[in-house]
Amino acid sequence: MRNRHRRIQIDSAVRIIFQAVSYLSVIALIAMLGFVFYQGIRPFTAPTADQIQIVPEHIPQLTVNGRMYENRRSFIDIPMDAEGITIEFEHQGEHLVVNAGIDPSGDTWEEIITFPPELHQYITSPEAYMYTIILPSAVAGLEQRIHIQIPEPRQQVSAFLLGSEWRPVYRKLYGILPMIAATLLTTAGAVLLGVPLALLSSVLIAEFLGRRSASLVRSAVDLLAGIPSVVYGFFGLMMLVPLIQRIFGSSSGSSLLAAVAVLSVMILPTVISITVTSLKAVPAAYREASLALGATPLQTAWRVVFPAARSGITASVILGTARAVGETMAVMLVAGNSPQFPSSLTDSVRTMTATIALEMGYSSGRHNELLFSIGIILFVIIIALNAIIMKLKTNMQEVS
Amino acid sequence: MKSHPIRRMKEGMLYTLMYAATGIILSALVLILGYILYNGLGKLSIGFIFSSPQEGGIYPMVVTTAYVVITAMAIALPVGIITALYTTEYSRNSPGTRYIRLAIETLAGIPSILYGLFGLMLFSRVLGFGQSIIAGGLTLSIMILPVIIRTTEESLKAIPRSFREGSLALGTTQWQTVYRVVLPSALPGILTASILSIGRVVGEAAPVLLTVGIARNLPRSIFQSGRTLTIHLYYLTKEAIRPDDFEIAFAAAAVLVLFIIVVNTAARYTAAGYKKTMER
Amino acid sequence: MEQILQMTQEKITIRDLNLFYGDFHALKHINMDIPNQEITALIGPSGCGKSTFIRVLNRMNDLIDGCSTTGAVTLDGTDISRIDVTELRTRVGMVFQNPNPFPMSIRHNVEYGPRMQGIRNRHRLSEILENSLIKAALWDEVKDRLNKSALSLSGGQQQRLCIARAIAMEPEVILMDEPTSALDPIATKKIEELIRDLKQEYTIVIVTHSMSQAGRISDRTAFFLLGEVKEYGRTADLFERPEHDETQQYIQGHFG
Repeated sequence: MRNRHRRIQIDSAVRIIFQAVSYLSVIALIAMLGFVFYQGIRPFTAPTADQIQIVPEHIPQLTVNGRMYENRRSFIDIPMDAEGITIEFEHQGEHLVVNAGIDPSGDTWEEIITFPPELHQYITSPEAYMYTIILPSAVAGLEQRIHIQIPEPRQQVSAFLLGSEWRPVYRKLYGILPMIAATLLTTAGAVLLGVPLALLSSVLIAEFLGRRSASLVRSAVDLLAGIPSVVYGFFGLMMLVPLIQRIFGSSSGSSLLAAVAVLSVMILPTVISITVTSLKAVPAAYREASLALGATPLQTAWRVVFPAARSGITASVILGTARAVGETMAVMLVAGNSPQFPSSLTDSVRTMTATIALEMGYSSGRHNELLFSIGIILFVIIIALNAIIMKLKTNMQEVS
Repeated sequence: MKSHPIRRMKEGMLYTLMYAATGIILSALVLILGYILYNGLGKLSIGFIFSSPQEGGIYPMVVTTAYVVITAMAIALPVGIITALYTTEYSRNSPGTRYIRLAIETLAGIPSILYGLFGLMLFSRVLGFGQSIIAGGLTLSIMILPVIIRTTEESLKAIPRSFREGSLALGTTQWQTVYRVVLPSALPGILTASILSIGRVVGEAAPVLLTVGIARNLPRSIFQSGRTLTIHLYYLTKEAIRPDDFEIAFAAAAVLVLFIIVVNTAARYTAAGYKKTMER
Repeated sequence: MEQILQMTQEKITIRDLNLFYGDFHALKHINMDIPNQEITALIGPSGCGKSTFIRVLNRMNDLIDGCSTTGAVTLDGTDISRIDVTELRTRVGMVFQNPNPFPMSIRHNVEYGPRMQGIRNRHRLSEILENSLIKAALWDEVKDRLNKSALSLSGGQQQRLCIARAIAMEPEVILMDEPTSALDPIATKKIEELIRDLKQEYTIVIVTHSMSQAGRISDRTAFFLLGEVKEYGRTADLFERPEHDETQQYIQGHFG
């Protein structure tokens, strides 16, 4: 009796644990969307900071707007509504005073802070939204520097999506239209090239090949699916890129064309396996009816079986498209990665995914956040494609 | 009615096209595998796998890859199996299960780079693991979850209902039935799922680049950064400095390709064996 | 009819039982008393609800989504919905239509139930194993290969193994859902003999589609039609003097 009680306790404990663990997938998905959206939306909702930020270098002691800081290595914040900035410090035994005026309503970053003319020779501004005052030193490398960083304003969604220049580091220009174009072009190319091949082959596998040869071809396709994307990229870089370079005489073979070629092979397994499955799911009665009417096996396959499997085939093409949109490493290795609008097939391009992978390592601040914004766009594309498949599935259930 | 010769010619053309397409696909596979193995096998040896990069080997990368695989599997396998058991054995049609299924389907379609972004954000930054094997393993464990859940679910669904009823009719609890009768029968399917997901983890690169990093040293624990084989291959090609870097890259690519061939064969074999036991 | 039933002790009583699959009313207002240590056969055309009914008795229908019941079923006077389902199923064993031994050895199949109840003692388990197999008339055939896979047995042997597996739980009632429908005539005969012997110790409820089988082995027979019990009584009475025309027609093979 006691034993039974224990068994039942264990049983209900297990059930509760299982239920809790099962929801991890849901939590993971929500967390994933949450984190990427949270990080990616920030550039569009607020400026990078509310203050102007100052960082000194090799200045042990300085006074900013009357307040003294010692051995400061991190940001000193100046509110945007301050009347100006006055920095006092010792330079080679002299007491120096740097004055700057603030105009928070300035349209461009150059208008927000103004310096007196005599200071201009010391100011370099290789980066947008950042001034660096460099004072000479007797010892090279020990120059005193003051970095003044102006907050970047809220990004405009239109400037992000439709901007055609991506200069994230020095000019803080974040237009991703060239990347969107590159993703669309590589994907479209891969689908145009890969899908016909895959469909022709699928019909052969599902309707005409014998059991053994069909299984052989399918295991080849499975193997194609298993090859890591880096290996595809490596192969493309070593084999296709030099080939394209030689044939088209371009300076570098890394190009839109190379990316399309590699991607079109990579989407084959996705399209083939789902298409073959849906062709096989077509009831034998359809085939028999068609053959009984005097149609040839080929006519039966293409005119009866193929249309009957339509929604499954559409789903396979959409999944193949999603695969091409999301592919990163292979494209990154062969596409050349220049963020530009390609004017020909042999031009270098950079996809959205490649941008994320290439720049995540070194980016910071707004630049880093905007890589997450690119992630959001990818998410939206993938979820839209998924939604189409869901719709197809429910349609299929309604029909059958 | 079309005349016969034209129709026959058209049919012949279509047949030719279908065979040509299949031929192109097969030759793409042969070309890729052949090219990499032909150029890579020469350098490949036991010494290559077990020596340091300074000696021209890939040992730290093999170890890092193994660590990432073990970490990812240690998390994803139990979670995946439990989820599959829950959605097939415990609660097939509840609204909760529908949400779980929807989440799994969506997760399966998300590109790996987005897993990388998420892993970087949550595991590296928020949880403070930095770029490390554990951060990568956790990230990849979520990525392979759909593979494990789907494959396990399929093998659970193939188990005849009579097994479950036979056990429950003897007065066992649900858990006893699951543990003693259902799980043992699903074992080959779970094995297939594991093999497939190991292959997936080993071949993955983009999220690994973001979360595990590129450190070339032999990692001493899973809390350190490391460089997996795929990332090593990427870097060797990107920044080939020494002339023999390409040679090493080819050999590393050959290792990956051979591994995938082994994985695919093993998965096929276990899946076929499984089918046989179920038909008996 | 009432008088006859009151003469023997009731093991299971069913009062106004209704069962629904979603909107479908599968069992309608069933009232039955199943006497102790007798064989009760349930007959009727396929789809009449007899298999559904038998699965009510050990609450196997709990496993089916959207299945609900009203009314009362009691075992020794206790409502079965108030007995823990695992306890109920140890007291009410079941043998299925198709032999369903687990993919384990013969020994483990029989010991499975007791082990799950927490019996660990090897000696005790061997005892149960031998007794159950002897009672199921299988011992002589398998005693030399107890560790062989149960799947290596013939269909009839597998079904007797499933009976042994049920007996190992020392149940009070054994439910049998067309236990011989998947077997050849010789195996069927063996099982029928076995069922008659088991009557000494157990209350048996058997679903069968074979009129002759019901006639050969059962003490009582219930005739199911479209989810209702049309007629229930002593087998001899029901077969010789059916009260309803439908029963008469079914027995004579007019439909089903």
